[in-house]
Amino acid sequence: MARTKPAARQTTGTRQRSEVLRIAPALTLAAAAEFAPAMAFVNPSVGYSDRRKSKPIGIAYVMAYLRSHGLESEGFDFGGALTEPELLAAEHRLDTYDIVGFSVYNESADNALSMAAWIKERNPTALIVMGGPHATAVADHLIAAHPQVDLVVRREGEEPMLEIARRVAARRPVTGVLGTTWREPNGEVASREDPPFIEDLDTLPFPDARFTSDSGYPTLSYFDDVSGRLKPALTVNTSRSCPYNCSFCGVLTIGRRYRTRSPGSVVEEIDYFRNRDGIPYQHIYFSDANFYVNPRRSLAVIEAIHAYDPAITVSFGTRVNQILRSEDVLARMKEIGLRFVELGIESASPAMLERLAKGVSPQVNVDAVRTLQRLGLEIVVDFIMFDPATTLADLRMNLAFLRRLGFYDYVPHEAIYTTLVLYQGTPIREFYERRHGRAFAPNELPDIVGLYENDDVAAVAAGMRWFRRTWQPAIDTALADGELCAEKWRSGGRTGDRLAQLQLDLVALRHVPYVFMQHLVEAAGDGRLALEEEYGAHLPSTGAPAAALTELLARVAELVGDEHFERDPSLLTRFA
Amino acid sequence: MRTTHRWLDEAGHVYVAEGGPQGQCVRLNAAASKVWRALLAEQITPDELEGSDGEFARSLLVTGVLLPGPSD
Repeated sequence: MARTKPAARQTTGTRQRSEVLRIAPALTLAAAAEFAPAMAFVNPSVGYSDRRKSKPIGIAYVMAYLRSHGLESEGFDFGGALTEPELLAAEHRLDTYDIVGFSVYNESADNALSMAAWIKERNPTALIVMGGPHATAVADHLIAAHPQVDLVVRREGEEPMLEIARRVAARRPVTGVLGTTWREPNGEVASREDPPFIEDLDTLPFPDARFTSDSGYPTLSYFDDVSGRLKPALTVNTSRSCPYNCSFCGVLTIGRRYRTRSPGSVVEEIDYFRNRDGIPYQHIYFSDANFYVNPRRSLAVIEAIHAYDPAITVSFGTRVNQILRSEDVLARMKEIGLRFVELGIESASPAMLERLAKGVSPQVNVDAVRTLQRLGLEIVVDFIMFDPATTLADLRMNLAFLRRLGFYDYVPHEAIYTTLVLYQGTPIREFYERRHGRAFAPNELPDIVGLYENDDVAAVAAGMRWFRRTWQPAIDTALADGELCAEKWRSGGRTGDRLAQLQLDLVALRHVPYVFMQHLVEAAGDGRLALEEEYGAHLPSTGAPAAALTELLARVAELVGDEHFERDPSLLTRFA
Repeated sequence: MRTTHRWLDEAGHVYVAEGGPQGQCVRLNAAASKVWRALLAEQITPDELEGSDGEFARSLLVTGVLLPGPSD
């Protein structure tokens, strides 16, 4: 793909003057004249992490902030790319920019460094800046060990990046900016203290930035069960950080100072993007780390949106203890458009909850789920099934919790596969470093498979990986096709035995991964650690009449027949 | 009591095909599942149930999901 606006940039400024940025030699008047540095902001690939599904909102905020100060930049989102980083950098000519900023997560650190090295090799004068949670956590290391990195911007990027861009434009040294880490001429790492957090988030421009992406984005939508309509959806962030200190959460690296936007500002943003895109967005996914810290503030935001357009529905993520604070607020939210809550349950084991520093008991998880179920609000489950110290007893508690609260019907089946990710800068990573007596490499994202402390749990985890690889794709396809078909028949007024059989088979199919895991846990508990060739023997029979998985899949395929060739796209989005 | 609906008792819950007002498959919660099993096993009648259990049982009769008479 060709670069978007190659001719619009003036890139002559720093190209032959690499030292200008660092030691600011005396300049001629002409050379000292300000220029507009060509800036690119890059979200490198995070591989198969689910982080790749979302646009890089942190970069978008920085780009919008720079534009509000007269500095244009170009955005590149390779978050979902599976192409080699050097090939992407070459294809998009990232070596032709004066400043290249990378948003770096643990998952994307290696790709960011590869791209940066490729750029630096071809254009040594390009200023390579890294920011984001991972860069913040290992700022000193990035500067000390990776010569292709010139600067690290820690925590919030807006102010430091503006100052850096201004200094480049004025050909002044870029070292010494608040909130940054750099390399001194003698090679030593130096840094300035963090600037104050941006307290008034309403002063920030809306995150209006367009990205060149090699993979594109699916149109964001939400199927609203209540109205039966597929709605165009928008992601909006109404706060920064989170006041809690869950030990696994990468937000901790950015700092725990929780700040919020006003309801009016949030409504203005929705209106702004509706007008910009010509799309009447009717569902808002709040992407806050924790939207519901202050229930009254959260309600005021949703009330303001409802007053702006009563057709808009919303959803958000929060912790379980927040849910129990104010059921009346949630009830009102439901009346005015709240559709689902993404709930950080994480575990049903007291020991795991303690390791994760959730500060809640399993009973709080149960009470929060029951509260939302009582209110008729859908729940999106955030769960961490496996961490290195997980025991079989923990797994039993997790499965019992999921079964008891009806989550065996829950799809996607991620909850039973999710393993703890030891992000750099998080307390749980340090906990396991101490516990296992080894330090992980700074940019390493440790593979949990080699960290399990209990052989029986490791065997269950291996069995689940086998199941996911071998059977989950077929189950996902059958569920997507089957749900579409059942919905089509039902809404078309069709009744009778085939619809009933299909409905029950779909329930049974949803249960299979959970019941399979239950069987593995039981076998491990009996001292029968399943070997790979024996996994198949643990596959359950489910449904009415009970059927083995192959039979169940065949039955659904037979019932669906050719129906799936007449897919209604709106329904497909709902279930796929 | 009897039912003409297909149903599944699995993973701690009862699922009734076409049991919802618009013909959806419904999942009964743990308490409702217990009532359902007891009614179909003829261990109890709706009249013998009190409170929300009784209301639930009567609603099943009103909607025709459950019918009077012995199960097959």
